[in-house]
Amino acid sequence: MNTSIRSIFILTLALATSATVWAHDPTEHAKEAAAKKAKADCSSMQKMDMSKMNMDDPVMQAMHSKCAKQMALKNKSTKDAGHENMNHDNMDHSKMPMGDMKMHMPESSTAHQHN
Amino acid sequence: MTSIKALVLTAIVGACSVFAFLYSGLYPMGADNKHFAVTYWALETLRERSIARAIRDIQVPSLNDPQQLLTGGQDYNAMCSGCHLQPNKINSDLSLGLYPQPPNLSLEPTKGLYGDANARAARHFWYIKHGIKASGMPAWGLTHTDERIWAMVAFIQKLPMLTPEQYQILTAPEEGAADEPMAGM
Repeated sequence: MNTSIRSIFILTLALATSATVWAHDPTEHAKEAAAKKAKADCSSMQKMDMSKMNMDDPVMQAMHSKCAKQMALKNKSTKDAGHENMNHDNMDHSKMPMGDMKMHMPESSTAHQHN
Repeated sequence: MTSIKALVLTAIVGACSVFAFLYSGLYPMGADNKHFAVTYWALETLRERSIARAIRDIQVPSLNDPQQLLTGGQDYNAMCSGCHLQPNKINSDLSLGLYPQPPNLSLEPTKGLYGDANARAARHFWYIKHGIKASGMPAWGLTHTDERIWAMVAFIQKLPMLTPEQYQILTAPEEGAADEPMAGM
């Protein structure tokens, strides 16, 4: 009698424990979805010792190519953002060395006509 | 003559019993109700013999192009990782709930299982392209080119050696790509 009561108790406890282990919070799905959409985290690549890497390894080459592409995009957007953030109204453009710069004129100005 | 009659009678009774069982609804169909060991063995043998025969003529291309890892990695993460997992992930809702349980492809395969790396690559290509009946494995070949499937195979070959950080970099979506692929565009 004692044994069967103990068995039932242990079984109930085991079932309750397993239920709490497997049942997870609904937000886990949202976290997983967000992780799938996340950009490549190349910070871990920057910490690696390049001299110890085997650059013939396709995994290394693939990671390098992806992070290099990401870095190029990041640099481009930083440069663009830096230029856009400048206050052009307060600048004296006549004092700027414009000789080696290519001017990108808006399309409307190319259609300028002299009558 | 008597023995022939007995044989025919046994066959009829046998066929009727099979139909009676099929229509009775007594068979437990739930994925949380495991097969008997003998049923599992029979189904597994049927599957393995069929696949071993089907992959005989598959020619495995070179799988060492880094671009294959990038393409295959993204597809693996979107289509396979939910069931076949990724580095540092030992289970998921799908890997626990499916029966038969999908293999964890982030672990080193058992040595000698399904032959050498080339034979395993051919087998993975076939699994991905054709799927497996009543197992939850879809036939991705209906919507993906062979080239894209080989890229997934190339990625799967490297998967057991990847750290979680390497996996994240290789499988992350390309920056600048649209969030959702647009059908028919």
